[in-house]
Amino acid sequence: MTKNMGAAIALLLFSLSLIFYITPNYVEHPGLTGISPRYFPNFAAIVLALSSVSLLVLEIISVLKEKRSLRSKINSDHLATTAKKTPLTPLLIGGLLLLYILLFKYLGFLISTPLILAALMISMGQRRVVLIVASSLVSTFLLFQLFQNILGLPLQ
Amino acid sequence: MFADILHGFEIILTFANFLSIILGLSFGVVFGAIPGLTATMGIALIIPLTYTMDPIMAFAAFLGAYKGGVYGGSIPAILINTPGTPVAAVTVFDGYPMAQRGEAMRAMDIALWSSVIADFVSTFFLIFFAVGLAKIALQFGPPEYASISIFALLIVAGVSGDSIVKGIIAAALGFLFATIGLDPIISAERFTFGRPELFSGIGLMVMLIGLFAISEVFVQAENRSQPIKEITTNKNQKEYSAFKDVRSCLSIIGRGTLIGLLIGAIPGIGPTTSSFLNYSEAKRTSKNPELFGKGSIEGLAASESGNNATVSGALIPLLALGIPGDVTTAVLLGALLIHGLTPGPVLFTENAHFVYGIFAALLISSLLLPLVAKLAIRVFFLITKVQNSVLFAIVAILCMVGVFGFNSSFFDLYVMLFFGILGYALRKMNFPLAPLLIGFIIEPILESSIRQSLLLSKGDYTIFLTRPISATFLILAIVSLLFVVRVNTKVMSSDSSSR
Repeated sequence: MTKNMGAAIALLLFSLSLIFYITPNYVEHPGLTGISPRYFPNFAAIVLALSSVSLLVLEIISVLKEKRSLRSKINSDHLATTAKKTPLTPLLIGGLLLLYILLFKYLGFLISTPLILAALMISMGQRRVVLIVASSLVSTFLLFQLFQNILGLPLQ
Repeated sequence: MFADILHGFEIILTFANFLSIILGLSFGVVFGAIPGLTATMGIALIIPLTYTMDPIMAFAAFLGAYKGGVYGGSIPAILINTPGTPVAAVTVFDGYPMAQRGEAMRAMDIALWSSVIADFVSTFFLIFFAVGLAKIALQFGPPEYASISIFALLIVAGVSGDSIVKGIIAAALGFLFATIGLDPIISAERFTFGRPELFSGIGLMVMLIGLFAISEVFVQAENRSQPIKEITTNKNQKEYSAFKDVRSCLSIIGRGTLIGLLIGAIPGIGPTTSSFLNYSEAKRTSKNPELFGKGSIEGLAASESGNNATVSGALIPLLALGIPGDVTTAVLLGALLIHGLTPGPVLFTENAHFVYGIFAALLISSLLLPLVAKLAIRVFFLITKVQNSVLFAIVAILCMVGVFGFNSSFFDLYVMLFFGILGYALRKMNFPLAPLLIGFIIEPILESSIRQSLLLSKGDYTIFLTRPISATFLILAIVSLLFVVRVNTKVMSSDSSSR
């Protein structure tokens, strides 16, 4: 199964769940005259479902048309390029950003920011300790001064 | 009128007013360039500092901040793929690819001069045609808004990249996200899941920063094993002439000025839609449409001229009729009232010296913008010297702090992170992000105008065809649709014949 097929099936299931479950249960329908509040969400969900089916069909047709040799070449090229990437790092970055929101909420800006900044830099491949420490502390100080004192936007 | 304009210049040409304009512009550019902060917020923060000022001096600062803020959003859009304000969303499409191939300074120059030319010319239109244009804009009722929104939705086809189906899917997702919150007519809850934070829907700023900036951080993180390099090497810096670039885009800038002026004058549509419309038109008429989205100077000029011209456009209904077209002009309306001035036709007769002083300030701020912007570009360009691992870590935190500073809401941060992950997933599967943004921006205007129109007509759908302006836009929409279908058919047939 190609990436597009997977995406099309996931989107189709999502749109069907919107039409048959989420919209009926989570969009109020007061029964007044005029267009219902459900009309536009349903319209978008139907367009989403139809487009997902189209994407699925187009993808199946293109896979069937593709010559086997060409496909294997593309796959090997694709593997060659993706092998250079580190797909786990975005997950780690996402986790760190989530952790930052929690730390920001419970420990405040001044404690959480340098810690998470340093962790983000390390996760993104930076290894120079002096640069990490200096840029984390200086950035935190500058951001705090800018938002809290110059712009008057509270960060605590 | 010429005597009035000269008198306006006489009033504004003082050292204090000049300083006021320069400070306003600088403040605006900084606000525009920091993701999460907007020109509106900048103006709101300046207001308390102007209580004791002369109204003209105060407005010189406000308008400087307004113009600076609209322009400033383009700087991070080009350098780090993060629109500083929602207005610069379209600038990302071609500005960032140019920066990636070492042409950041060239992109900055095109963005700056397109902005300045569009801004300057539209200010002239404002001066000479304010009252007339305001009257035209007043003809727009709900059916006209609905038709222009349907017309604007066709932009999706122009910014969908290689797959229109994927573009439609992205637009439908944007449409769906825009329906979250209380519905615009009877305030029925939609997809709020009982969370009061969702009653007002998802903020455009929150979604935009997540979708473009946070997803870019994820993409950069994924490439971390590749050698660390500067984001731009500027290798082509000496190989271009800003004058030639701008000259080759003059027709696009001219069209952007007119589109921006008209869209700006229509309350409630906004500069982002204007940018999208001009971008779509520029792509449709370009000799090299395939370069759009890959670092086209025409695309960049279209975006920046389209959004900057809306500043003068938005001032038309405000000054001539006392109607604010968007949040920024609503804040300006409040500022006018604070300074004891009531906008509307009476303002032009009873306070003509103020109105023409403001017009002179607008022209002067257009001329001063390049000076302030060039300085700002030099400062922000230092960003390009920072290693990616440090830069994007700081960008991620800056986005977080910027979004938090906007509403002081932790919930917004979770929503931004969600859109960051969604944006990353969509990019990995080659779905275009621009249609999602278009769907999100157009849905509220389209839905409220269609529902209001049908309430007015008691359910009669012919209301969209019996009003001339509405019918014209619907016809334009059909013609554009046919054009898109024809072009796509040609492309498909030429593809199959070349195989």
